[in-house]
Parts: sequence; C-alpha cells; structure tokens
Amino acid sequence: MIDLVAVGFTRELGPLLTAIAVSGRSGSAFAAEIGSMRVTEEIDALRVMAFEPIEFVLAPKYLAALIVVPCLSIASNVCGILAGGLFMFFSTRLAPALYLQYVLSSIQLRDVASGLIKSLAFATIIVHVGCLEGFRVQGGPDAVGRSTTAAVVKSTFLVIVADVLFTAIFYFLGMH
Amino acid sequence: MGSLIEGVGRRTLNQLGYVGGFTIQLWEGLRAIGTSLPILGNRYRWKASVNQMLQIGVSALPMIALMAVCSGFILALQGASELRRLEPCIT
Repeated sequence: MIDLVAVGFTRELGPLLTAIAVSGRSGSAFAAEIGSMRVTEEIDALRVMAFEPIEFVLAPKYLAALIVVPCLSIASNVCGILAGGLFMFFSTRLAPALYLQYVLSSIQLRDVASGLIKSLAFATIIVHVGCLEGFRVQGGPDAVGRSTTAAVVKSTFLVIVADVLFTAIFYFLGMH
Repeated sequence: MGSLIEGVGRRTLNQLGYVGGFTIQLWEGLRAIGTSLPILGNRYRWKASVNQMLQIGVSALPMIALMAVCSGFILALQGASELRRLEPCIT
C-alpha cells in the first residue's frame, strides 16, 4: 500500500500530473503570447531588427521549463507521499515516522531518476508544442484562440503518448 | 472520389509539415538554449528566463501541491480498500 503511493508517485503520477497542469497553465500562455506577437507582426519586427525569434522568445521559456518542471514534479512527489502518510495516520494510526521510514526504504534512486527524465521530456514537449502553435498563427485574433486550444489539446495528448513510450522503454530496459 | 483522395493527401501533408516544423524548432531551440544560460549567454535572456521560471513554476506551485495532495489521498484510499478486499486471498 505504502509502496503503491511512493513508487506510483515518484515514477508515474508526479511527473504526469505536473506536466498536465503545466501544459494547461503555461502551454496555452505560450501559444497565446507568441500568437498575439505574430498577429501584431512583432515577430517580423524582431526579425527585421536581427533578433532571431527562436532565440529571443523560445530559448528563455525552454530553459525555464527545463529547470522548473523537474522541480515541480519533485514537489508534487513530496506532497503526494505526505498526503498518503496523512491518510494512513488517520485511517490506521500508523506513526508518521514509521511511514516515512517505510517510504524511504521502498523508493529506489532509479524510480526517481526515471521520473525526472520523463519530466524533462514533458517540459520539452509542452514548450515546443505551445510555441509552435503560436508561431503557426495566421490571420486575426480568432486564430490566436484556436491556437491556444490546439496547444493545450496537442501537448496533453503528446505528454501522455510520451509517458507510454518512456514507460515501455524503461520496462524493456529492465528498470522496474 | 478524387476530392476524397485530395483531402486525405492534404491532411497527410499538413501532418507531415507539422512534424517537420516541430523537429526544426526542436533543433533550433536546442542550439539557441545556450544563449540564455546565466554566465555564458546573454544577460537579458537570463533575466527573461528567470521571469519565465517565476511564471511557470512558482505561481503554479500551490495548484500542483493541491492536486498532488488530492491524488495522494485518492491513491491511498483506493489502494487501501482494494488491498483490504484482496487480503483473504493473499494470506
């Protein structure tokens, strides 16, 4: 039971929850920001001033996401495991210290590492799908709205597909 | 019939174009990420990057913590009741 919460969170649920929340919150914001820059021709103005839009707009977001998403997924692991401990305390009066000891003995480093690798991949997918939808905007303000929707839908879908792929890869590499 | 094949071809080409654009952007992004590193790159990009970190990360932290707490509760609850149901079979 404790294994279920600890391993399930560190390996799967923490990175996946984080990625879905970030794609809903920030992926749509990227698409809307870049899309409106595109509609008001700011992207073309940047190119005229010899700023490469990828370097000027995308690179800071990408670096930030690569740093932040693994941190957020570690935070969500910690919160989930502590919530499991709280539930165990209220339902079976299991001592929190005993729970923590059991959790620490059942998590292995490779579980945490596979979760972190996954969340790096999820960050890449979220940023690039959001920014690509933004850069592909053509037309008026309604295109910005459509691109925001498309960014959230596509990045959530691709995050889940990537999760399946990574789980399969780790399974066949024998990391389970 | 002809318009059907035409539509299938157009959608296929659109999807292939999307994948190609994604790949190009991924490569360009990986090449450009060095410019926003703290000391090696451009100072203003690093500032923008820290700003983005605040927006993506710090302001999302309460929401993600709440989601994680709720799903930890759910996982523990469901797992506990399920294991309790299976207990006679195991032992």
